[in-house]
Parts: sequence; structure tokens; C-alpha cells
Amino acid sequence: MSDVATCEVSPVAPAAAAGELADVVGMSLFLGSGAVLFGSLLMSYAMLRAQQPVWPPAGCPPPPLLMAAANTLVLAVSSVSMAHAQVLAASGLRCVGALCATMTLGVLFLVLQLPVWSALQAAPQFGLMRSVFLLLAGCHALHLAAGLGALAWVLPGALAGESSRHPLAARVRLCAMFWHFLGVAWAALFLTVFVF
Amino acid sequence: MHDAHHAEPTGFLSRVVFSRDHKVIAKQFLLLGLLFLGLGGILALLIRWQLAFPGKPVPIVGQYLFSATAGAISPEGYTMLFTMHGTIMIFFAITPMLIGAFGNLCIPLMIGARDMAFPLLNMLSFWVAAASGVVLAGSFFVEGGAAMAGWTAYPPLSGATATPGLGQTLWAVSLFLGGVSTLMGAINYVTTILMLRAPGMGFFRMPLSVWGLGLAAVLNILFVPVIAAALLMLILDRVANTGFFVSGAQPGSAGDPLLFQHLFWIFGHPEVYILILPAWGIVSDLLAVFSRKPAFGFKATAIAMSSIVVLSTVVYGHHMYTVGLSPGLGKAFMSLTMLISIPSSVLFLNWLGTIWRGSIRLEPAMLFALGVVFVFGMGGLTGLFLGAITTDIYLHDTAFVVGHFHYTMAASVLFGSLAAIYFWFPKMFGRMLCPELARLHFWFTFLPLNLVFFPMLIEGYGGMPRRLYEPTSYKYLVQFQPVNQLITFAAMVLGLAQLIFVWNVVRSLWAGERAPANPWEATTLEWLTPSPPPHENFDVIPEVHRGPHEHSRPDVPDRDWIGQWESQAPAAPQTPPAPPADSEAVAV
Ligand code: HEM
Ligand SMILES: [Cu+2]
Repeated sequence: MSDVATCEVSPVAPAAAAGELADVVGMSLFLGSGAVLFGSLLMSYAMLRAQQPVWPPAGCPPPPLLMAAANTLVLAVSSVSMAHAQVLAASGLRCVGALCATMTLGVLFLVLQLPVWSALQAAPQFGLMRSVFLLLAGCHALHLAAGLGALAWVLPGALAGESSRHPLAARVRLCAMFWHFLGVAWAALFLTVFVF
Repeated sequence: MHDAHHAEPTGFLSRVVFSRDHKVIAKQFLLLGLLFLGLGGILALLIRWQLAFPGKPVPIVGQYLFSATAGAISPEGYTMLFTMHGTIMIFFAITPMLIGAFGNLCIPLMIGARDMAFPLLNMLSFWVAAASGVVLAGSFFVEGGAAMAGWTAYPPLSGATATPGLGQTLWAVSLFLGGVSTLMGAINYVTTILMLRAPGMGFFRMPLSVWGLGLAAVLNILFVPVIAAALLMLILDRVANTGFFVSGAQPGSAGDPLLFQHLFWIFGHPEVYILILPAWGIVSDLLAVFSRKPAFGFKATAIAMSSIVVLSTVVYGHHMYTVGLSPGLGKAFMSLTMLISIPSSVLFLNWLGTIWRGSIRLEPAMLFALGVVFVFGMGGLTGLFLGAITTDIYLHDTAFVVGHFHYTMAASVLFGSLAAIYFWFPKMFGRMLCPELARLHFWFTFLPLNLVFFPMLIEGYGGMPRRLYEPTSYKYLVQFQPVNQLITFAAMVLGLAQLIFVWNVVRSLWAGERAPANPWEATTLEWLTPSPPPHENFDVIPEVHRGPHEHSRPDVPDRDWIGQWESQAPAAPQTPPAPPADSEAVAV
């Protein structure tokens, strides 16, 4: 177990460290643009909603708050397990369990979205409530699926206890950055669409 | 991924097709951009044919392209032509050429890096761009034809009711993919510039080309997601019965078509700077090289470009003066827009300062750079009329706008790209282009180009609307028909002249003279390494000792340039030389 990451302090470290830093910079830029994407979607929603006399629009059932809250809880817990995985990986410990927990919670989140989606199918076509949900939650779900893909990509390394050129800890950190971003995006969505 | 050395791949696929080498990807983007430039140019000529000879069958090609209407262009066909022309030129010709090709070629070479920070992402960026190009080109062949809502695709024109065809949906999908590709590139560029500069390469030692490309990448990261959001909503409106931009057309819909305009221009205004910034940077460098002088006010130019980047994020409302903005908001946008003329003037005057009393070498790249100075001046001056509300209300949606943005985009950005091609072709391909043919190309492009776009300003001032199918249907426009024909003839000459360029490139690739490492006696790092550069660019990563434009230093008598990589000025003769006659020419 301890052979996982202790060997990182080796002569190749400076080059690898610079590469890891570049990865973090690249990921931060990516998340910055992701923030602009979700920000634009939320601003559009705000502009449309501000023009409505009542909200939710007439003839539209209120959004299913409880189910969405369950979603939120699941995603929050998954962020905790993701953070745990990152800590484990950083200190060279086995993080497979925490990674698998995160992935399971991510899948559970997507499954729990289904009832919310079908509740909103009842809302009128072309209506703003259905449109906004389709857009925001759809966009979020696609990104989350990509996040699951990223976790699946680091999993083999975690299983094998890999520690070669691209250290596992660095990869897990990148995944964690993305995963927490998804959590924050969902929180914004939850608050603006379901709570207020 | 980031190891110091990689073995050069040997297979054809990994070397030429799915290469991760930034120099190969640059060539791929260049080819993509040039192909689409040709296509967009042909569409422009068809538009011009209709405007000069409304309703007449198009000679030669008309019978094949418009067989249903006996070779004439129908109103729908015309709408499709200008929509696709604008879209192709902006997103598939100029963007791949300047940002894709020269961003890729120049950034690593000029900052002394072995490659981009993320070579795999770089490769993906090209292939997503290629896929998006295929989707767009394919949309010509679907039922109902390609998109028809203008390059701006305002709803409700671009909504499912007005344009039900698949073409408009494919247009949106293709632009979305294009955005993904651009974003991948931009993240790569910024990370590379931040992380991979050679030792000694401070930000104020970077060539202005890198400044321009880097700033454009920052704008891309910030604003491509905005258009992506708009496109997502447009696509959902078209295929999933949502109602973001639909209002009234469907029962229960309460969307807002103006929302799209806001999002489009929040992105769209920075987009024009995304295109012009690399051209500005390249021109600033080229003027210095071919005037054999340091770039006048180098830091001021870099700071001016940066402040334009900041200002460009808050002026988009000048595209919407006529949609019924509150007057206070309009005035705010106008004032901010006018502020841009301050850094723009700094930039422009610095260009003049650079060439002032320089020892100018009129190489083809320099001709095109000087061409940019002229046409960008025209574009900037005409922009003032459109930035001021009072004049814009009259000029909005006229041919004046078409003249203006062609002077900035079709002229300045295109000339910037051509200057870049003439300048870096030897580095890219290891062959020299024929300078005589290049000069011929310049004059047969520069003169007709002004004959095309200047008269448009006059027509627009005379009240001719843009996107007009049949100019003679208005009595007051009949007087302009000779002008329209003049423009069209000039455009044909312009189009034909590009064959000189194509021939020059093809000839050089086979039989051009071998290029030395530094044919222009330039000072930036890419000229240190052989032409074309080896895999991973430099044998040893150079150390940077000086700024990017050390030309004609008075204390260096026998050479008028010192490379950024040279630690010492070339040895001076024993006796100190007489002080140069006009030392102010080199003082900066
Ligand atoms: C150099 C040869 C070119 C010629 C002769 C030409 C000509 C034209 C013409 C006649 C129009 C139609 C104007 C109208 O509808 O009234 C047009 C539209 C347009 N062109 Fe060009 N153009 C050229 C190059 C370019 C380039 C290089 C770009 C971009 C970088 C460009 C961008 C556009 C755009 C955005 C539109 C507006 C399309 C729309 O209305 O939706 N053009 N051009
Ligand atoms: Cu603008």
C-alpha cells in the first residue's frame, strides 16, 4: 500500500510538478469557462423569469422540491467522498473505495433525476418552467456524466496502485476540482429553480 | 505528458493525420481555413452577381447550382448565400487561419516551448473543428438547404416556425462544435503562455503576436460559453419544444427573442476583437521587423491591447441601438464604445511611430502589414459612425455596415492572415515563396478590395439596406446599379487574384527555394531554430536575454538585429564607431 505514492519524491519531480501545475491551470481555465456557461444560462433564466407576472407560470405545477432536495443531498455527500478520495490519494493511501463511493452516488444522482424529469414533463410544452429545467438540469446531467467518465478513467490506476509518470494523486485532484464544480453548479440550480 | 523529450512518432497516421505536434496541427488548421476561405469567397461572388444583375442566371455555374430556377438565384437561395458566407468566413475561414494555424505555430515557437501544454487536447481541437466544418458543409445538401437566418441567426427567423429545415439546426450544432474546438484551443494557449515560457521570457519580452493571440484566447475562454448557451437554447427550441426565444407563436410560450440578441452580442462583440487582436499583434511585430526598428511604444501597445480586451466586454449594446433599449442604456453603451477609440488610437499611432523613419523593406509580408494599417484605419473611422447612436439609427442595417465590418474583418483580419502566411511560410514549410508573385497578389488584392468595400459605404449612406435581394425594386436605389456592377467586377478581379496566391503556394511547396533559418533577419525565437523546425522545436531550450525587437542598435555596428536568444551583442570592432546620424530613430 505504501508503495503507491512515496516514490513520487524522485529526481523526475520538478518536470512532473510543472506538468501537474499546468494541468491545474488548464482545469481552472476550463472551470472558469464552465462557470460562464452556467452563469449565462442562469442569467437567461433570470431575464425570462423577471418578465413573468407570476412564477411558477400559470398552469404549471410547482417544481418537485422534495425530490430535488434528495438529489442535492446525494450530490453533497458525493462531494465529501470525492474530497476524501483526494486526501487519501495525496497521502499515498488507497482511494479506490472512496472513488467507487463517489461514482455510485453520482449514478444515484442521475437516477434520482428521473422522477424530477417526469414530474416536469407534466408542465406545458413551450412553457418556461419545463424549458428552464430541461436546459439547466440537462446541461448539468451531461457534465455529471462526463465527470463519471473521468472517474472511470482514474479508477484503473487507483486499482493497480499506479504511481508512474502521471501520479494518481494529480489525476484524482483534477477529478475532484471538476466534481466540486458540479456540486456548486447544482447548488445554484437547486436554489434558483426549486427553492426560490 | 510533460516529459522533457519525446521520440518523434514515425507512422503516417500519427505524424500527419492524428499528430499532436503543434506545427502539424497548425498546417491542418491552415488548410481547413484556406479551403473554407475559397468556399466563402465563391458564395460572396454569387451574392455579388445577384446584386449587380438581379434575377439574371448565373453564368457557367448557375445551371448546376440553381437548376430549379433556370440558373437564377431565388430569394431563399440568396438568403442562404449571405448567411453561409458570413458564417463560413468568420468561424471557418478566419478563425482557423489566424487562431488555429498561427496560434498553434507561433505560441510555442515564439515563447521557446517544445509544444503546447496539452498536445492531445490540441489534436482534438483540430478534429472537432474539422467535424464542425463537415457538419456545416453537409448542411448545404439536406432537404430545404442550409441555414437562412443570417449569420446572426436572430429568432424568430432562426426558430422552428420560420426556418423548419434541418439546415438551420445543423448550423447551430456546427457552431456549437466550433465553440468546443475553440475553447480547447484557448485553454491550451493560455496555459502554454503561462507555464511554458523559456527562461528569461518575461511577459514584456513576449512578441506582440503572442500578446494578441493570448489575449484573444482569454476572450474566447470568457465568451465562447455565452454563445454556447445561446446555441443550446436555440437547439432546444428547435428540437425539444422549449420556448426560450418563442413568444406567442406557440400557445403558452412566454420566451423573449431579444434574449438571443443579448447573448449573441455579449459574445459577438468580443468575437470581433478575438479576430482582430491576433492580427494587430502580428502586424505590430511585422512592422518592426521590416522597418528594422524596435516596435514604437512596445509596452504601450501591449497595454492598449489589454485595455481593449477589458473594454470589449462592456460595449456589446452598440449592436442593439435600434431594438428599443432604454435611452440611458444606449448612451452608456455609446460612451463605453467611444472609449475604445483611445487605446485603438494608441495602437495605431504606435504603428505609425514604428515605421516612421525606419529602413523599410517592402517584402510581401510588409506590404500586407502596411495594408492592414490602411484598411484598419478605414474600418476604425467608419466604426465611429456606427458607435454613435444618432448616426447609427440612420446607418443601421445598411450597406454602410457591410462596408465597415468588411474593412475590419474581411480586410484587416484577412490581410493580417495573409501577412502572417507570407512571413511564416518559410518557417512552416521550409520553402520560400516567390516574392514577385506575392507582390502581384498584394496589389491585385489591395486595390480591388477597396473598390469593393468603399463604394458599399457610399451606397449605405445613400440608404441601401443590407441583405437586400433585389436592389432595383426600390426606385431610389436604381441609381446605384452601376456602382453595384463596379463592385461586382472588382470582386471578380479580387477572387481571380487569389489564384496567384494559390499558384505561388503550390509552386513553392514543390519547387520553392529552401528557406534558411532566419530569412527576414528577425529577432524572435522561432528564427533561431531551422526552417522547418525539428520535432520538439529546439535542440536546447534557448535562454532569453532581451526584448523581441532589438533592431538597429546604435552600439552594434555590423548587424541591424540581435536575436532574443543572444546573450551578447555581436562583437563590436575595436575602435568605437561614429555616433549614428539620426539616433532618435532607434531610441526606445
Ligand atoms: C473578400 C471578399 C468578400 C466579399 C466580396 C464579400 C462580400 C459580401 C457581401 C456582398 C455580403 C452581403 C451583404 C448584404 O447582404 O447586403 C457579405 C456579407 C457578409 N460578409 Fe462578406 N465578403 C467578403 C469577405 C468576407 C470575409 C473575409 C468575412 C469575415 C471575416 C466576411 C464576413 C461577412 C459577414 C459576417 C456578412 C454578413 C452576413 C449576414 O448578413 O448574415 N466577408 N459579404
Ligand atoms: Cu461590437
